[in-house]
Amino acid sequence: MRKFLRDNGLSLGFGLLFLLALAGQALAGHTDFNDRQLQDGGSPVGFGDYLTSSDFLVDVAENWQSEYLQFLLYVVATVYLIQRGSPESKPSSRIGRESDRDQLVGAHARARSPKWAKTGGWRTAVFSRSLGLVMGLLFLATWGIQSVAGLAAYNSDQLLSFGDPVDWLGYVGSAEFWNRSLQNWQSEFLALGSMAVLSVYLRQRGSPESKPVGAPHTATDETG
Amino acid sequence: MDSRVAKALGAGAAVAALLGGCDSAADSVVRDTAQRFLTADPATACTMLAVRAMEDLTRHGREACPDALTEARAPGGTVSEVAIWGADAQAKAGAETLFLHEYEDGWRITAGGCQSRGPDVPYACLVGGP
Repeated sequence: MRKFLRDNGLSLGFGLLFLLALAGQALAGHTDFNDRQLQDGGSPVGFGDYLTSSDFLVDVAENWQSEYLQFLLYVVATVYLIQRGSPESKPSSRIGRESDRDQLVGAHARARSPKWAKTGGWRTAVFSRSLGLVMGLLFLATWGIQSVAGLAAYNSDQLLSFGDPVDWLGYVGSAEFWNRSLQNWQSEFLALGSMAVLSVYLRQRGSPESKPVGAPHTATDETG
Repeated sequence: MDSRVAKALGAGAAVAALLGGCDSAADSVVRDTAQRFLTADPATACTMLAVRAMEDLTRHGREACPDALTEARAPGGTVSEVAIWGADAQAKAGAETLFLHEYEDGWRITAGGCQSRGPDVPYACLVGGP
């Protein structure tokens, strides 16, 4: 058990933090929602009802989509874009998808390589892109959920404040939808860009996201 | 579970509404409530108002609700169109529009005799409203 916890500490730790933060968001969101309802002449709802509401769902989905966009772009962009000196970047000599030998694909696969890395054909092609594909699908799915839940929450607010509801196309073309999306995207791009630059000059001893403390600023693709 | 939220606030309702499948039971209740408000005598119509709309109507304390409503209410028409999102709804009848909200005791009128003032601007209403 102790070995399992140690070997999976990163995923378990963040899984626990995720659940705690989601619970906190639900509690704070419920109070905020009911405050706004009373201010607008509406009626408060119970906690369970809030959890199934479009208002809660859109707040959750809009943050999830931006996080998956962040990882999709980082996973795919780092194939072709480099940052000299960043521990998370490749050196300039390896820009691109690299050779089958470097990637241990097909005839270069090893005994314990995943099956789809050995077989070749479409399976290897799909497996070679599976991380980016799944991140992309998760991004599109959560963005889609955001658009539908956002439409319901937006129209409910519109009617509560004596305005007209809109249809889905009207909502995805609205300033509300793009404001919700872009305010999250810009913060993800800023965080990724600043991490790429700061990790060139700063260190976190023992972290694989950082270079060794004594590594030169120009060292790229070197962690510890 | 509060039925109004189960009916309308959930993600399922959002998907259903997006795909064009409105909650026909809620649609029917809202349509019926709006139609009854439009055709009821003033005293009965007053019992269908939300508290804020009622207070707004009799704000200056000069008139009882039925008298104030008689002056303020637009001629009743037939409800031709209903839109429900969450616990809020809009009903169109001829040239006027009603707004409704679902409270624990059912749907109530939050605004009546409303006219559009253009997109992105709240309606102007004779009873209740912004």
